[in-house]
Amino acid sequence: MNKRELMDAYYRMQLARSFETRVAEQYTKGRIGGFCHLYSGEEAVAVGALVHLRNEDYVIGSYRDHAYFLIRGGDPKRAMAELFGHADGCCKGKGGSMHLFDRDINFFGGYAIVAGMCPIAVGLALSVRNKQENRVVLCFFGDGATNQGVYHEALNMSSLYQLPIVWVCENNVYAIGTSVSRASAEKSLAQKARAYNMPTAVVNGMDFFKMHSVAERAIAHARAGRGPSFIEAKCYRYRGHSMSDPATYRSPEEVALWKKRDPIPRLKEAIRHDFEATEEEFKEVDDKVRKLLDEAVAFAEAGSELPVEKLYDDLYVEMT
Amino acid sequence: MAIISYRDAINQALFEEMKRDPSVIVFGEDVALYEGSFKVTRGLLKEFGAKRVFDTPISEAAIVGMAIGLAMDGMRPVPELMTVNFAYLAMDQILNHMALMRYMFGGQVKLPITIRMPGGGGHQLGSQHSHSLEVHFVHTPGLKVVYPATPADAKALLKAAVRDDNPVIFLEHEGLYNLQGEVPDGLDAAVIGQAAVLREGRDVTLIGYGAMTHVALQAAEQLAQEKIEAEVIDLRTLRPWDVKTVTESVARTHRAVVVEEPPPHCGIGAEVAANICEQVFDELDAPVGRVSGADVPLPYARELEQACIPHAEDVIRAVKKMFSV
Amino acid sequence: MYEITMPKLSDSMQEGKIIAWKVKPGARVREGDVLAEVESDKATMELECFHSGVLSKIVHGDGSEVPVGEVIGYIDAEAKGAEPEKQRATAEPPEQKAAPKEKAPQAPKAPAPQPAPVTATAELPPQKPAPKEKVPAAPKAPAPQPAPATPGAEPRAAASPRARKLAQEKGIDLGQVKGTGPGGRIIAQDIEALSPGRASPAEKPSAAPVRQAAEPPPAETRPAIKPSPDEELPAIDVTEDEAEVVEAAYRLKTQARRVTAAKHVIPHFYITRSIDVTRLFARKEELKQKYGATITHLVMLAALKALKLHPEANRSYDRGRIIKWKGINLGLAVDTDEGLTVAVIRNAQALSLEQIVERTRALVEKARSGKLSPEERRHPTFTVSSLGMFDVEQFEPIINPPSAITLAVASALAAPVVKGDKIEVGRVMKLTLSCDHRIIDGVTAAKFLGELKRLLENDEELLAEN
Repeated sequence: MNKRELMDAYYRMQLARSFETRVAEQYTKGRIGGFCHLYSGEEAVAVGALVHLRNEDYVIGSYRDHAYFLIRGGDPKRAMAELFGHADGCCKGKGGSMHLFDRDINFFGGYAIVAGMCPIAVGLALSVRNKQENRVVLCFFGDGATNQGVYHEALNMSSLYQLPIVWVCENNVYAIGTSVSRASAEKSLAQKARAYNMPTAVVNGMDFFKMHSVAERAIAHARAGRGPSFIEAKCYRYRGHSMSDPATYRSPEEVALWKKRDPIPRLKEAIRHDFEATEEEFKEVDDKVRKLLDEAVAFAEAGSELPVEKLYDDLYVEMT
Repeated sequence: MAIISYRDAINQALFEEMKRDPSVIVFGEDVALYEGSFKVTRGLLKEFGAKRVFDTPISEAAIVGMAIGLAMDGMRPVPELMTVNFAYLAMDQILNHMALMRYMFGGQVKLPITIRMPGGGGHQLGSQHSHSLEVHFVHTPGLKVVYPATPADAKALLKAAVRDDNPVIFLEHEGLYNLQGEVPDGLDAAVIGQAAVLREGRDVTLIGYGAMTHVALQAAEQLAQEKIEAEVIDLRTLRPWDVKTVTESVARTHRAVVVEEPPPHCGIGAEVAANICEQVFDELDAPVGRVSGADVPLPYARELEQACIPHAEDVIRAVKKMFSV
Repeated sequence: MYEITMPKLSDSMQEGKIIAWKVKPGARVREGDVLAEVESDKATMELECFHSGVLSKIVHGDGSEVPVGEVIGYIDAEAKGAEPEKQRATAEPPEQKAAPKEKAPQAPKAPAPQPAPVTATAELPPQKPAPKEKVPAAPKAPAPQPAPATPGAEPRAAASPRARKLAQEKGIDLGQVKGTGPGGRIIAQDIEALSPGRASPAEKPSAAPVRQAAEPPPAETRPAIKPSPDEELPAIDVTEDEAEVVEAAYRLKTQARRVTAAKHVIPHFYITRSIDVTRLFARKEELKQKYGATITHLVMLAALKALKLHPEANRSYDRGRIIKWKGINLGLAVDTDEGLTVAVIRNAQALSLEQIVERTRALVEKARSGKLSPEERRHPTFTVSSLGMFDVEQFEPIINPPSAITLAVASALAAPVVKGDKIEVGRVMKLTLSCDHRIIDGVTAAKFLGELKRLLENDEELLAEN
C-alpha cells in the first residue's frame, strides 16, 4: 500500500473513532435516545475490509453500523442527524442509530435483529450474480450471530448457490455480556463456517494490515465467482455493548490489554515508520475529522424531527 | 372464457407475469424440479430456466430474507412458503424486516415481493399443518394481504400482487385448489383492496374470504328458502380491506355476520365488526355476529376437526338468531 | 470553558448519583479519561472526558444526586488550538413525539333541565320498537319534549342502543326526541332528561319475525299507536282581534298532557263525607301555636294514620301489576306561579305532626321556587289536595298517579251540625276521595274515608303520640 492509501485508511479509522466519541458525548447529553452501539476499537476490521470495495459493491451489517456508513463514504451530517432523529437524517429520523441506510453509497443498512440481515445479504448476492454484475457483497456481524438459526441458513445457501459474499465476523469476544466461550460449543467461529464448505480465515482484527490482506483475498475470491468465504476477525470493542452497558463482565485489566492493541496508534506508527509521515500530516487529518464532526453535530443540532403529519409517509409505495 | 381450477389459475398468473417481466423470479422448497408440493408451479422451471425458478433448502427464514435482498436490488421475487404453517419460521423476516424496511429506512427501499402460501384446515393434517395465519399478517402495517376465493380472483389478484411494489402476502386455501371456476381470457390484474358482492340481498350481510366465502354462499342459498335474503361479500383483500363496500351493504341490510376459519380472538371478524360499529352504528339492528373456527388447535380426528370449522349451518344459525322473537 | 453535565446514561435515567470523582480540581484531563463514576437507575458507569484541558471546578461532589443535564463541573479547554466550546446548558431528553392524539370528543351538553319538575306520568302508551321503525305521525298538539320532531323525519331515528332501551322503558317516542350525540344521535341522556325518575316497566323487546319479505312487517306485529287525546278535540281557530295566542310553557304542556291522560285512562269514582271539625276548628290557634299546624296538616296526619290501618289504599295499579308500596309517600298539591305541583314527603308514615308541618313547609317553599328535587317529586302513593282557603264546599280532583286515591280537602265552613236530636252551628269540612277504580273499590274507599272522619272528629286520639 502506498502512503496516500494508508493516510486514507488512517483518516477513515480516525473518522469512525471520533464520530463514535462524539456520539457518546451527544448521547450522554440526551440528544440521542434509545439504543446506541459504538464501534470504538474495531475500526481496523471495517476499514481493512471496506477500502477494497468499489462504489458498486454492497455492504450490509448489524446495528453497530455507524462505522460502516462513514467508512463507505456516507455523510457524517446525515448520520448524526439520523441519530438525533431529525428529518434530514439519512432515514428521515425514522430509523435511528441501528438503522442507517444509504443507497447512494450502497450501504444496505444496519439491522437490529442479530443475524437478521444475513439472508438479506444472500438475496443481494444472488441478484448481483444473476445479473452478472461483478459486484461483491460484504456482510458484517458479530460472534453472537453465529449461533442464530437464520445465520446458518444464510451461510448454507450462500455456499450452495456459490454467491459472491464475504462473511465478516467481528469476534469481539462478547455478545453483550456473554463471551464466546459461554455461547458457542465450537469456539472457533471459522470452523463453524467451514461446515458450509467455504474457505475461512482467522485474523487479528486489531491489525489493519493483516485485516487488509485477508479481506483482499476474500473479496477477490468472491469477485472471481468462486463463491463465499468467511473471515473471523478477532477484535475488541472498547466501550460497552451499547451506551447503557457498563460492561462489568470485563475486567479492567482485560480492557487495558486490548487498549494496548489500539489499531489507530498502530497504524500511525506504521505510516510514520514506513513513510516518515509527520505529526503535521496526522494533525491535518485530525483537524479535518474534527471539522467534519463539528459540522455534523451543528447540522444535527440545527435540525428538527419530521412533523407528525408525515408519520404515515413511506409506509407503502402508492400504486396508481 | 375458460373453466379452470384455482390451482391452474395461479399457475397461469405466474406464467403470464414471468413472461411479462423478466425480473420476476420464483423460488421455494420443491417448487422447481418437483413442480410444487401442490403442483402450483408446474411447468415454470421448464419454461423459464433455473435462474428464475429454483429450489431452496428447508430454510423459510432465509427464503424470505433472500427475497428481501433480491428485491432491494431491483428484482421482483415471488417466493413460495410451502404452507402457511411454515411461515412461523420466517415471521421475523416477514414482520420484523420485510414489512417495515421501507418505512424504517425513510422510503429508500421498495420491496416488490409476493409471498405465496397455502393454508387452511379440514383435511386431517393435524394441528401443526392446519393453521389460518392471516391475522398475523393483516395486523402488520407495511404489508398487503390478499386471499382469493375463486379461480378468477386467484389469477387476477396474483397478477396484481406481483405487480404491486409493496410486500404482498398471497394466501391460498389448500381446500380450494381443485375448485373450478370461470376465468375470462385475457383477465387483467385485479385492484387490490376491492371486495366483491357475490350475491345481493336485503336482510343481512354475510362477509367472508377464502374458503369461508363459499360457506357464506351456501348459507345464503339455504336462508333464501326461508325468505331471508342474504347479501354475500367476498373480502378478497384482507389488508387493506374494503370498508366502504361492507359498510354500505350493512347500512342497507342492518345486520352483518362475518365468517372466518380461524378462532375469533382478535381476528378478521373482530376487525370488521369494529369498523362496522364505528361507521354505521346507527344502521345496526343487531350486534355484528361472528362465525369463527373453534378456539383450539385443530385435532386430527375427522369429525372433531370438522366441528372446528364453520359450515353453512353455523352461519344460518347465527343469522336466524338476529331475527328471533 | 466546557461544562461537564450529569450524563444521560440510559434512556430512562432522570438523575444520577456521583459515586466518586476520579480527578481533582486543577488536574489535567484528556479526551477519553474517566472523570468520575456515576450511578444511573440501571448501573454504575464511567463519566468520560470529551474535551482535554484542566478540570477547573467541581460543582457537585462525591455522593451528590444530580438531575440529568445539570452542570457538575468545568473544564478549562486547552488554549492551544482549542476554541471556547459553546455548550447548551441543559440537555432535554429527546422529545417523544406521540402519534397524533385525538382530542377526546366533547361530551354533548345535556339539554338544560326545566325549572319546573315533571311528574311521572305515562305520556304515551309504550311502543314496542319494530325493526324498521317508522316515526308515528307527529301529533297536532305541540310535542311535550323540548324540541319538536322535524317534519318528515327520517325513517330511522339515530339512537344508541341504550337510548332505545330507555325510550322503550319509558314509553317515549324516539321520533319526538332531539338527539345531542354525535351526528344528532339520540343518546341515553336525551331520554333521561325528558322524564327523570320515571320508570315504566320494561317490556320484552320484540324484533321482526323471521319471515321478512320486501314489505315492512305486517301490521299486527306492530302495536297500534293510540293518538293523543288532544287530537280528538277540534282545534281552536282564533283571529288576532279575538284573542292573543302564546305558546304554553313546556311545564304547562307537560301538565296538560299528564292530567289529560290521567283523566282519560283512569276510571275515576268519587266518594264524599262531611267531617265535623268543630272541635278542631276551635283549637285552631292552639294547634298553630303548639305545632304550627293548620287543619290541612291535621288532615295529612289523619290520612297517614288511616293509611296505616288501610294499607290497601296505599297501592297502585299499572298495566296488570299491583304495586304494593312499602312506605307512604305523601303527595301534597302545591299551588305555584307556574301551576300545580305535587311535592312528595317520602316515607311519611312515621312522622309526627311537627315533622309533617316542617317537611311541608320546606317542600312548599321549594315547590314555589321551582327547586324540588326528583326525589321530592317521585311516586306519591297518596295525594292530598286542599282548596280549604278558598271557601270551597266540595271538589273532585283528578287523580294524581301513581296515587290510587287523591284526597280533596274542602273548606271548613260554618254549617248546621246534628248533635243528638239538636242542631248546632259548627264547622263542617267535606272530604272527597277521587279513587282509581282499577284497584280501589267502593268498600275500601268508604272504610278509609270513614276512618279519616273518625280521626278528625276525635282530636285527642288524632293528636296522641303513638
